[in-house]
Amino acid sequence: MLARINPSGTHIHKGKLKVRVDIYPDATSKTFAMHHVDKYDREPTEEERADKNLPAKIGTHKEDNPCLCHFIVIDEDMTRTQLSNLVMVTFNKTAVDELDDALSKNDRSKVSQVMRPKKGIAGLVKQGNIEDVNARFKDLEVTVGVN
Amino acid sequence: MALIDIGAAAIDRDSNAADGYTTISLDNYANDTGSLDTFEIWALSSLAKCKVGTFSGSGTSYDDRDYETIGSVSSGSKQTFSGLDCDVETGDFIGAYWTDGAIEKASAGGAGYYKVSGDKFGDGANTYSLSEDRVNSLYGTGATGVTNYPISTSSDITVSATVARKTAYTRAMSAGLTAAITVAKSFGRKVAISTGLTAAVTVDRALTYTRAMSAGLTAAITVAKSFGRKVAISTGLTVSATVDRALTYTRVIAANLVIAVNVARKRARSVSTTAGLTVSTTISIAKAFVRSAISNLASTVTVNREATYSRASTSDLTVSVIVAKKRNRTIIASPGLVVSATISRTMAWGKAITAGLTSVVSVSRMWNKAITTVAGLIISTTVSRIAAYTKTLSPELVISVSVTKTFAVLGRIISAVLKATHLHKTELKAMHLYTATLEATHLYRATLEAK
Repeated sequence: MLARINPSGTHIHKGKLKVRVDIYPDATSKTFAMHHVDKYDREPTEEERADKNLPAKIGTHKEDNPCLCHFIVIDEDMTRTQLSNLVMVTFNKTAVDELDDALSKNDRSKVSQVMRPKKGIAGLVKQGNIEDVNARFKDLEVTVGVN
Repeated sequence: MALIDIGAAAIDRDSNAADGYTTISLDNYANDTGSLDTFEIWALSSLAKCKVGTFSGSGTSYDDRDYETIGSVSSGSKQTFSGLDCDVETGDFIGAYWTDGAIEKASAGGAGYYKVSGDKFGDGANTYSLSEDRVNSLYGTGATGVTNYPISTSSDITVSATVARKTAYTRAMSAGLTAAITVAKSFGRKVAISTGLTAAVTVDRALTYTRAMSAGLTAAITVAKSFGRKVAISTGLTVSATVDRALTYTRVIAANLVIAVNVARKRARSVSTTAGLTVSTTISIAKAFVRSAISNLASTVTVNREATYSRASTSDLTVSVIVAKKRNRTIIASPGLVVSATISRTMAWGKAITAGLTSVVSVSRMWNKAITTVAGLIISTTVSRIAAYTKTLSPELVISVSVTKTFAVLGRIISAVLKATHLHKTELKAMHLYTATLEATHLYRATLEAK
């Protein structure tokens, strides 16, 4: 599986800086088919969305959606390498296998059981410069679920 | 830790909800209080800048309790967002806001949702309008009693621990110094400034202070609450005993000896049975008893607690005053004797200011009783508290006062005359008589029958 930092989810909540890690399943993953979906070639307009039949007329193509978007609390001065290592540790092979299985079965309880302890640990935010954080982790991708 | 869920299932539905509104789904309000860690969304078209949170309120007014900014949401499949920490309480509703895109919704079959234009997260209470029967594909799960403790793994962490109540103090300024201290609930202090010093201190609840300033010095101190006792059994000892309240008794039985016995508060008794014998006893605070059974026996008893006063202002004048609480009793049992008993607390006072003048004053509480049991006798009883006062200003001048209460019984006729008479006589000159009589008489006569 591939982990990508999604800057749209970077935010501060309760004084903690959180970054969003999207997990994309491999083609061999159990959840691959669920998230290998048709996408509109363009976003439907408001009028098209208002009529259920209209969007269907928009052309589509295949895209992969993340099977899980996970938020991790980090220190705002964490380096790119540190975050890569943290992501690899968080989504080790065991965790990824369990997630793939639970998500494919729509087992929410299991998903929470696996991911709740992996929220990350960090101190309170001092600067809170989200743009700086996102720039630091731009296009960061980490292959996860490997030994 | 119980599971919490809120909202409707995130599934592909037959309609969609447009962007730019804050929506609050009424389906499946929160069943417990805790924290939501996972949200699920199914979007028709990708959502931008999406926020998801919890709302509380009633009617058309709602306020967000907590929310998380999850960012973009991909369309076409259920998107799961984990690792969140959104506060929720029982009865809360789930809500969302996004700036672009559309979320899957059903136009019927739901509890409806409230919506209002714009982002109302963190904006306090707002008024919403109801869209009936509709339901959004927005769902959350979590658990009760979830507590997240912040833990920092960054550097510059300082751990400091201070343990107080430390009372041992050791100071050594030279090598080779050995110190051993055993202290029980005490404050020990030791200062050694020389080498080769060994100090051993045993203290039992004591304050010990040892200081050595010379080499090779050994100090050992033991302090205790001890009791000292000393017993000497060698010779040459002196034993001295003084005992109060002692009884001293001396008895001498040899000839020509003098026996002297002093006894306080003693009862002395003297009996003389020989004629011509004179017994003289002096008793201090004593009861004296004299009994004479033979004629010509003279007995003299003198009892102290007397005040004797003698004053002589003229030659050959003798004044004698005897004041006593004295009980004198004389009994003569032979025929022809005259029995006279005088019981008195008598004050005798005599004063003579002229040669050959005699003055006698008798004051008494005296009971005189005479009873004759022969027929024809007159029984006369005189009971008196008599104050007799006689003053003679001239030779042969006599003044007498008598007060009499008299009871008379005559024959078979009983008559009683009670008199209280005060007789006062004063003769101012020789052969001149003044008499005054005050009398209160009650006469009672009772005749029971004729003859």
